[in-house]
Amino acid sequence: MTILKMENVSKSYFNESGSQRRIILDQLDFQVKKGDMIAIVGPSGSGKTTVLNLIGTLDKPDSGNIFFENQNITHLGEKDLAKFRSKKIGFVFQLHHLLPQLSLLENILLPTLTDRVLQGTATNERAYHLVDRLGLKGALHQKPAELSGGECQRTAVARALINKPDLILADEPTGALDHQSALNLVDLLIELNHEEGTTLIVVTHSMEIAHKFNTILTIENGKLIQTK
Amino acid sequence: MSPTHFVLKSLWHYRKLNLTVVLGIALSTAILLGALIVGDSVQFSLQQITTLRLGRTSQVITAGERLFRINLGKEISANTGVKAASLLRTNGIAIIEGGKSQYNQIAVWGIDNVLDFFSGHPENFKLEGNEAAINENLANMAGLKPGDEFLLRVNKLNTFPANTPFVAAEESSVAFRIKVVRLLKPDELGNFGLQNIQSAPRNVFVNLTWLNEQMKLKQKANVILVADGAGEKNLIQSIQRNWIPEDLNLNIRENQSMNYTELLSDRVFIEPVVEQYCLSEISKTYPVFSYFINEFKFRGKHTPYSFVSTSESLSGMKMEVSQWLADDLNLNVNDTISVSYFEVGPLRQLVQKDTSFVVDNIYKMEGKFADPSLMPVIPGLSDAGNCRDWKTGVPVDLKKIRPQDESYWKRFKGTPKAFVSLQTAKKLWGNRFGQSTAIRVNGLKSGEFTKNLLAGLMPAQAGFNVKNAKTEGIAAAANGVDFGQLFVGLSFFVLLAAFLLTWLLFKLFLGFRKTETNTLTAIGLPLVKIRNLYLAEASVLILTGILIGIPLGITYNYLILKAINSIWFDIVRTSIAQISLRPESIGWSVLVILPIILFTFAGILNRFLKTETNFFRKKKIKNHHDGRRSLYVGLMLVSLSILGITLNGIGGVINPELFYTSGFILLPGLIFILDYLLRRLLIAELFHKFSLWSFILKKLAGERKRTLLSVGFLSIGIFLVVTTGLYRQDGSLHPEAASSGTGGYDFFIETTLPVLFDPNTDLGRSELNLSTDAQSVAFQVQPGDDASCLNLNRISRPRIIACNPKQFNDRSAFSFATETPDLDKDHPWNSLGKKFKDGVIPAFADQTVIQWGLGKHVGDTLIYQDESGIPLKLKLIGGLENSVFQGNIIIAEEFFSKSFPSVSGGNLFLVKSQTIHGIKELQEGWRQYGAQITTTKDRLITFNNIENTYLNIFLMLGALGLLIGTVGLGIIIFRVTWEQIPEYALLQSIGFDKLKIYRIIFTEKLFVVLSSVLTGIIPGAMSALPFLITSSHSGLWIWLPIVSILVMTSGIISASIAIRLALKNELATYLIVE
Repeated sequence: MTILKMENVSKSYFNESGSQRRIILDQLDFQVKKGDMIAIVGPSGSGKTTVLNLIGTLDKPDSGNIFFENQNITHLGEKDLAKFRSKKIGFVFQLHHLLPQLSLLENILLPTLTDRVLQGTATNERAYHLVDRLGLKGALHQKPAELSGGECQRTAVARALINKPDLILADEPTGALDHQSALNLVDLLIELNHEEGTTLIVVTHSMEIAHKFNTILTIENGKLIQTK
Repeated sequence: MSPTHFVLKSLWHYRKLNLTVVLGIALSTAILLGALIVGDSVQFSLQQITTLRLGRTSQVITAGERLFRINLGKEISANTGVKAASLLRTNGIAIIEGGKSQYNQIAVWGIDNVLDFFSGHPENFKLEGNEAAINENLANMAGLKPGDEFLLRVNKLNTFPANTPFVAAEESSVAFRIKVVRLLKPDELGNFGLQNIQSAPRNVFVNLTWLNEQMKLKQKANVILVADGAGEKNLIQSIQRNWIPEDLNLNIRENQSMNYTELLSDRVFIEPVVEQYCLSEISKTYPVFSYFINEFKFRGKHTPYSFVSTSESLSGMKMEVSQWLADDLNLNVNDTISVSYFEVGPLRQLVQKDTSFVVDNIYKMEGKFADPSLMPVIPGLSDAGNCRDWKTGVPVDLKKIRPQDESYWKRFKGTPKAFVSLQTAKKLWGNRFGQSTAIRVNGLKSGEFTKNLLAGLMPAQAGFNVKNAKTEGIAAAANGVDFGQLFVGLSFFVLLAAFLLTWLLFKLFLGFRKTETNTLTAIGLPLVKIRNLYLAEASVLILTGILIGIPLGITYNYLILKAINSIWFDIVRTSIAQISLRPESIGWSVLVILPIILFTFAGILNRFLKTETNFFRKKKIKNHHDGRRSLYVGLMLVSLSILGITLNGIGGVINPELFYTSGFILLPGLIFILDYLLRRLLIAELFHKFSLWSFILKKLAGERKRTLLSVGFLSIGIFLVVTTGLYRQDGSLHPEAASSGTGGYDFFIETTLPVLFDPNTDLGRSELNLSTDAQSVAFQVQPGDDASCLNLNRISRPRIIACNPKQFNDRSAFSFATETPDLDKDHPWNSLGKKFKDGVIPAFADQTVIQWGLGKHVGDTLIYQDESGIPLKLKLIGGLENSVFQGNIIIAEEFFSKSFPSVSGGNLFLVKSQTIHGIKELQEGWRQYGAQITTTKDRLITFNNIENTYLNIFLMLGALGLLIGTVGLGIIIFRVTWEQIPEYALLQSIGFDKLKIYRIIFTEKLFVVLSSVLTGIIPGAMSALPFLITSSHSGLWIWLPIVSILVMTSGIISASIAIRLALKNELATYLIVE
């Protein structure tokens, strides 16, 4: 079952002076099936993050359509997009972006604030479950400043999972971690993919990490080419 | 690439941010410059007022209460070659439309057309008959226009003081109708006056000769205006060269049959200085003292109303009596004869006294004993045809006059009936006017006597005073209230806010350059070079800001002047017509601002470079304490504050200081409690009820320091603005208390015409229509400048007022703010009677007058000149608390009378009565004296209004400062929001839309603004409560919601703009690290 489809998606940016246009994605066609684990690789500036931001609705294509579960999300309004992100997408970034004033648990619960329906005992229990699952139990009430880099990033993963999203988008999630922590985190993401049944798209520049995924897509000249 | 290239590139790249920095600097410059140059404009206007007031007058010659010939002015003019105009100046009351309205304190000037030269407008002062020119101020006030007629009652001047003993007082004023033919503008000398004050007088100009006629004077004047060109010394010499005895109100007459020449005075008594001069400088002169006595008594027989003169051959209490008197009383040699007489007291008080003499000799009425010239010339007495026609200034019971007395008068006139020794006469009858009634010299011709007298006597000794009116006026204006400094002080808060804003903008400026700075350091650029690059950039911005700030400052100055001419009129009481810009003031402002801003930036830059380029600096994980310490301190301060308020309640008496302290303590108390709450929030586990609200609170707690800084700054600002602005001097607080500024008196009365009697006598009460319980204190007044806060000029010699301090002492009236060791703390008013070395006289004044009006301290001595030209040293031994006497120097009556014997009667009164309830009840009795009656409470309120206007200015400028402060808050919000953009980008990624994010941030900032307002306004209102609850200031409550709404609105707008600006960019980009 196709969960995500990109049709003829193009995206370009102007340089700072506004005089030159640079094409990043050129009539991109791309499909993702539910439960897929995809790694996107490519050189710097090739458009990996752009693809992720377009899927995550943080950015809009110049042309083309993006369908999520057969719904065209390209033309959704700001509010609907926010709702979509809240319900369907979980983000993990290179930097964890945890809020320093919130404890680990509160940071995980942060996405539940988007909708009162998401709050409640069940969510709290899920938060405890994720904390337990991600090995963060001991640091439950600690602030980000008191956690290690790996712990922070695992918290960010838990935060991405709290609303049971259909799709996890991870943008260089291991970029700020040491080698071993990076491998551990990827393994964890894969395990969670199996356990939760979520679809996983990871952008990485590391082929070692990419090879842990079922599918590898390389971005070249604005197109995605399947290399695995 | 050169550093200049780098700087220019950077300036252009960050142009938007740089523009805000430039505007911040421009704002600071404008506020400081605008405030400083207000002083120039006010000073210029004061000088302009002085110039218009005096026209072409350079010097002014006066002679105290003395009148001299009109021709003296002409002679001085001819002698010096400089234009001089003689004027006759008196006070008057304008009675319009048969008494429907009355205007007091009118300055009436008898002038001739020489004054045209001084005004620079020909024909303005060409007045005939009862024609009058009045100034626009009076015309506007009284609704008079050319063609209108009104009654003018003026103080009738004479060559002798109105309170001269034995001279009738009936004609102390004279009234006549005048017709307005011209209205004079200020530039037409309409506001001519000799007082250094900016407010316009009420002037009436009439023909000099005509005014003389109305007063039954013979071509007299009392002021000479002199145009520029004659020095002071030259003028004094000229007076001396041209004066004649008539100018000194003296007469020299020759008695050829008795071979003597004598000097007499229009003032009955020979002034001591003249007497001393004659006796010491003109050989063989001797004094004669003739005195009017009420009665001779001997063994039940009475001889009424006679003159007694002096003989050099007598001593002690021996008396030579005439055969006529001896026969009348059956006297023999060695009999003891009783004599009753009046002793001259203050005002026109006469105290009947009795004494006894032993008859030493009985002489025949012939030769030197039969000299009718021994009787002094007393108008109404000496010129009367018979005794029943006597018009005297003493009570004469005409029933006592017997036929033989009439016969004596017809035959011998006032020839003395007895002689006593000169020493005894001086001892018994000497008074403040003199101790002789004639100076005689045998064998000297009158011409010689005159020549000898006038050659050596100095004009100053006769009270002639040459005043450099223009120089002194300009100096008084130049050294007056410094509005520049004043407005810098009043703009303190707005200045502080502007500088703070600039500081924040600099921080923002550098905040945007963090990455760049690290790059520059990383590529090996030395810190000094980086510093210089930024300094160069900042210098361009600072100079541009200052250049833009100058025209803005001029505009700000214009707005202030507009306000001074309208809503703040109370502080100047005149129209500050023109803006005056002195390049040096602008230069000074720039010289002050430039280094301040430059050093401020350098300081911020140094700190920035130190922290941002230290790669080895580790972020410390702080162990936050749970805030209980803050809670305890906060609760303690709040409790203390509540205790203070409660104590106020228990006492029953409102203590403003205690209220202020209570509010002052409450403010940090609330901030400490807020600190506790934020700390608790930070460590509190809220996940089980994790909601948007708890998230917002967590965010606030996460920004605890910045939240507290913002709340602290704004709340302290609000508190200072509210408490300072609402603090009011309140004349309505306990005006009945003797210790208050009213002295416990109800009315303050200033009369245009002097009151020559004691208002505490039955006669006085009846004359003034005062109730029997009325207690009055009369003050004699020596004119001078007004040193109260109503006058902006720097005054060196304020008006002197004198009273008998006994009543004040008995009532422990008024309070003292400052004192010297000379002041008796238990009986301060008695200290006015102390005699100091070298003739120094103790004096009081309001502390505000001493400090601000005179620029002096208690213990300092003011130098005046008495009527005889002798320096009069007044030592300020005490400074009164804010009182009705503001603007005056107070001395004891006994000293005043000796120094200014010519000053007749009282012109100022304090009245206390339980049965008089309003001014209207007093008006009838005091109307004829042109009395300006105010309640003492209102008078204090008038003075307080000045201070209150300054406080209003502080409030308004403070509110402006708060507005700028909220802009500063906006910058902090922008910076914090901008720094936290990755957080908001994350929120967006997890499903928050931009509007929701905006609301979260806005709610957070709203809390800061609201907390600031409440933390500032509640303690502020508490501190100002004593003033807010008084009825006279109930309107001040309005400031609380005004300030609150102003700060809230401005804060909300600033926050809103700042958040929008910060969130303007694409948030997603902040999550990407390529």
